[in-house]
Amino acid sequence: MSQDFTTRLQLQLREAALRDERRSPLERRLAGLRHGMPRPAVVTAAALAAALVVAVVVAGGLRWGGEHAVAHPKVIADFPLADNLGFISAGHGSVWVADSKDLRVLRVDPRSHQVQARIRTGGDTNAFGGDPLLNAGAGAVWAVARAPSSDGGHRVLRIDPATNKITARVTMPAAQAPIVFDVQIEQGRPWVITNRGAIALDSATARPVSFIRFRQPAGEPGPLWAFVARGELWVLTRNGTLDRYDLGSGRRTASDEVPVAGAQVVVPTDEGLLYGANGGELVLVRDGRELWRRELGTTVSLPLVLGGTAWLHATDTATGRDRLIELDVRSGKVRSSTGLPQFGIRGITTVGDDLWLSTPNGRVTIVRPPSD
Amino acid sequence: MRSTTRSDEDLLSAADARSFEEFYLRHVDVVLGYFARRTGDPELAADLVSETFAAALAGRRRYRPRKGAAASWLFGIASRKLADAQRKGYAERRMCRKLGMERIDLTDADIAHIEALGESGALLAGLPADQEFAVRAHVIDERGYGEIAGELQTSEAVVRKRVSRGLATARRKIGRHE
Repeated sequence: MSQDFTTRLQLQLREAALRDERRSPLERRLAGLRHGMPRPAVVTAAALAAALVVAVVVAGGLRWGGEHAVAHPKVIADFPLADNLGFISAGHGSVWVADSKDLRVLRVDPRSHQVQARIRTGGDTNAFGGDPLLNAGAGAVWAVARAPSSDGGHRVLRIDPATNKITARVTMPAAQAPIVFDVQIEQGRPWVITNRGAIALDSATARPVSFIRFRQPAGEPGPLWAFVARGELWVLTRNGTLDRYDLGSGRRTASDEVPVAGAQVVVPTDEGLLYGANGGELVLVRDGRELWRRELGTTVSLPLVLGGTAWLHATDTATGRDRLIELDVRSGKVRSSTGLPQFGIRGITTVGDDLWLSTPNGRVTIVRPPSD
Repeated sequence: MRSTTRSDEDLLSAADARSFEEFYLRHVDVVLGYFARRTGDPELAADLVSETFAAALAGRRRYRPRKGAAASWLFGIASRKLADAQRKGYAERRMCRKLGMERIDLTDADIAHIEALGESGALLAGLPADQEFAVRAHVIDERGYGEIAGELQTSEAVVRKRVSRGLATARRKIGRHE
C-alpha cells in the first residue's frame, strides 16, 4: 500500500533533519548566515513592505487586553469582495478597495457592503502590498498602477467619484519616481511618495506640480519610511535621522537623530513621535526623550493613530489568531484586543466609527469599537 | 494525538530529527486543514504545508520560546506562505528545494483526506477566536483543561465554558446543514 501524503512528507522532513544533524556547527552557522543575510533587493523589499502594509505586528509575550478591560470592540461583519485585496480608503460616501488580483478599484457601499462599481486600473500583480495603491481625498480617488520595474513607468490615475470614470492617467517622471511607495493626501493635495522624494500633483489634472527630493547618499535604494503629514514631509533615513521638509518651500527644516535603535516606521501623534522598531517594539518619544517602550513581538510596522488611540494589527502568539490591538498612545497600555476572523491585513481605514480591514485573502472585516 | 508529554517548545528547540518529526506530527493535520480551507485547493494546500514545515525545520534554531508558543510561530510561517501564494498565484518551493525535498504528487485518497480536513476546520472557522482555540486544543489536540488554562493564563472554568459554547455553536451549524 502506498504511503499517504503526510507520511511521505514526514519521511522527507526526517531525511532533511538528519542531514542537518550531520552537518558541523560551523556549516550550520554559515548556512544560517546565507539564509539570514538580506540582499540589497531584499532590503528594498522590506522597506517597501513596511511602507505598503499598513499595520502588521507579530506579537509575542503580551497578554492581550489584560489591562483595564472594559467594553471591547466587536467584529460586526466579515465578507468577501475579491480573491485578493490591497489598500482601502474611505471617501465620497463610499469605501474604495484595491482588488490586487484583477487590478481594479472596487467601490463599496458602506451600508449594504455591495460593490457599486469596478474600475480597472492595471498595475503589477507582484507589487508589494498589492496594486493599485489607493487613497481617497482632494476631490477624487487616486490610484497608482505600478510598472513591474524599479526604473519608473508608474502611472497615477484620477478617478472621478461622481461618475466612477478615470479622468486622468499620468506617468510619473522616471527620474523622480523609479519606485513608488504610496499615494497620500495632505493639505488638500495628492502626493506620490517615491524612493527619491515626494511629488505634488495637481488635484484636477493629476499632473506633477512640484517635487521634494530627499537627502540621501548616492546609490541608496530609498529611505526606510516617508510620508506627508502636518504640513511636512517626514523621512526616516537609513542614516538614523528623521528629516523633515516643508511642503510649501521644499526646504529641509529639521534633521533629528532617531533615539530608537532599529526604527523602521514613525508616526507623529499629539503625545510625541511613535516609533516602530525591529524586534516588535513600539516607543513613544517626545523632545528626544523616551516616554514609554512596549515590546510587542518580532516585527513591527505602522499603527493607525486616531487621536489618543493607536490601532495595531497583531498576530497573537498565544493562540495563533490575528488580533486588532487598541493602545493608549499616552501611556502605551493595551486597552483592548479583538480576535480577527482572517489572517493578515493589507489596509485599514475608518468608516464612521468603524474600522474596515482589507485582507490578502479578499475579505473585508469590520470592527466596531465600543461607544463611549 | 500527543505521544509524549514534551511541550511543542521543547520539541522545536531540540536539535534532533526525532523531535522535529514529533512536532510535525502534532501539527500537520491542523496546518493542512487551515490551508485546505483557505485555498479550496488540495494540491496547493499540500505544497504550502511542505513549504511551511520546510521553513520551520530550516528556521527552528531561530525560534525563541520567550517570543511565544511554538504553534503560533508555526502558524505565523503558514500565514506568510499563504499570503505569498495568494499574491503570486502559486506556492513557492524555495525552502523545500534548499532542503532537497521533492514535490509530492497526491493520490485520490490524499485529496479526499485534505478536503475532509478543510471541511472539519470550516466548522470551527466561524467561532469566536477564543472558542475556536479552546475547542481545537481540547477536542482535536486532546489537551487537558488545566494545561490550556495555564497557557492562556486563565481559569479552567473559563476554558470549559469556551469549549462548551464552541461545541454548541458547531452542533447548531451541523444541524443547519443536515
